Amino acid sequence: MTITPEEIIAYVDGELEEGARNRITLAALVDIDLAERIAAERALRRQLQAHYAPLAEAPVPAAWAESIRRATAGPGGEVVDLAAARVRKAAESGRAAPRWWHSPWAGAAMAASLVLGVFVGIAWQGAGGGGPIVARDGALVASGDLASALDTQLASAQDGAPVRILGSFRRADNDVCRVFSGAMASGIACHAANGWQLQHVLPGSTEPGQAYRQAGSQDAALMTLAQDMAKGDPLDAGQEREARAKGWR
Amino acid sequence: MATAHFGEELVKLLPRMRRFARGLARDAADGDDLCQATIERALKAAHQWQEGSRLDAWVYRIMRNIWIDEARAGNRRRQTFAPEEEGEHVSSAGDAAIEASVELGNVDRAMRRLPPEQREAVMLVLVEGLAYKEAAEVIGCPMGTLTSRLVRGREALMRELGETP
Repeated sequence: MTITPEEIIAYVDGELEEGARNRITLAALVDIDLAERIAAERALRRQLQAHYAPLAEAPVPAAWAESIRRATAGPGGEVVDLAAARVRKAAESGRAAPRWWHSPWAGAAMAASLVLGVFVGIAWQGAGGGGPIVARDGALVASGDLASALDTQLASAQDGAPVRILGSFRRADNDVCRVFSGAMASGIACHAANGWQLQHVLPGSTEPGQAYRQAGSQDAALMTLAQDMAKGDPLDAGQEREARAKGWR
Repeated sequence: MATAHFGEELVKLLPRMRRFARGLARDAADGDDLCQATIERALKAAHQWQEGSRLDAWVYRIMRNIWIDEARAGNRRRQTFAPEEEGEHVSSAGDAAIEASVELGNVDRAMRRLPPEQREAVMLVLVEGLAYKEAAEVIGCPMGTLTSRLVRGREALMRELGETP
């Protein structure tokens, strides 16, 4: 299967329709070169965002805001504008992640920065096989050990587990999603009627034959993706336990 | 006329406008000049902004148009008034000063080496987070043009940043 550079960046930038996205996710599971190109594109995106983020946090010259306010104030000074609240609300629900988002996710990523690779025993057969991810009803769904980790493990208690859960959150449609990291694959899965549907899959944290490696950058990439998908903060330990008790609904 | 709420929305955008300007311009001072020129033009053109549409994309469009116009005018001035070597000298001395700046990291250097059309595409999509469609509208180019600029820009950045980790 040929995947063009345009398709790879569109995949990384979240510009693909679900069908096209699944096709590339599947292809990346069996094509290590493709998986690495995707990882490199994600790393570049992350590097640029990290580099430019502080600039948008820095205070701007006060004279700019003053000149704008002078130019836009009505003749009587303060202008009461009923449309203002609506527009402001729309702007606030825009794309930029609020600042308070950063700390919980950053903490989770840091806690998982060294991932022990004990997931190597699982036979990885890619799509359609008996591996941790299978295709079902046109979607990629977790199976085997990955499915049971997503079903049962809590991010707060999982010493020595083959798959680590880095965090859980709810997305806009209220589905629970979980960020996982294993030796053969890492990613984000969201709970659906037919199981845990894979939304993103990255290569795992361990190369075959290696005991472990620093998985921080991969995890940071997943946290960024999670942050983009999530509605509100990640679930804390109590909320996660409660969601599990309710069957992740 | 520009209303107070337009003004407040614009004030809120200032940090991101300044960042976009820095990404486009050759240094911080040029970036701030560009930002200031954009504020002035946005205030004058405020009546053209459609309420409910994205103010950030609208302002970015104003900014990149000023930036493109000035880059073109700058090139013309150099070609018209300065002997070629002098022009080169000025430009390379400027570049050397930029390269020597402590604040200038690898990413800044790699971004400055990109052709302008790739740099603006990278800034809009990867840094400012605009969708392809929105970024293409800001630039005023077809989607296909935008994506091919993005591909080439990213390849160049990866080459540069890969060499200087």
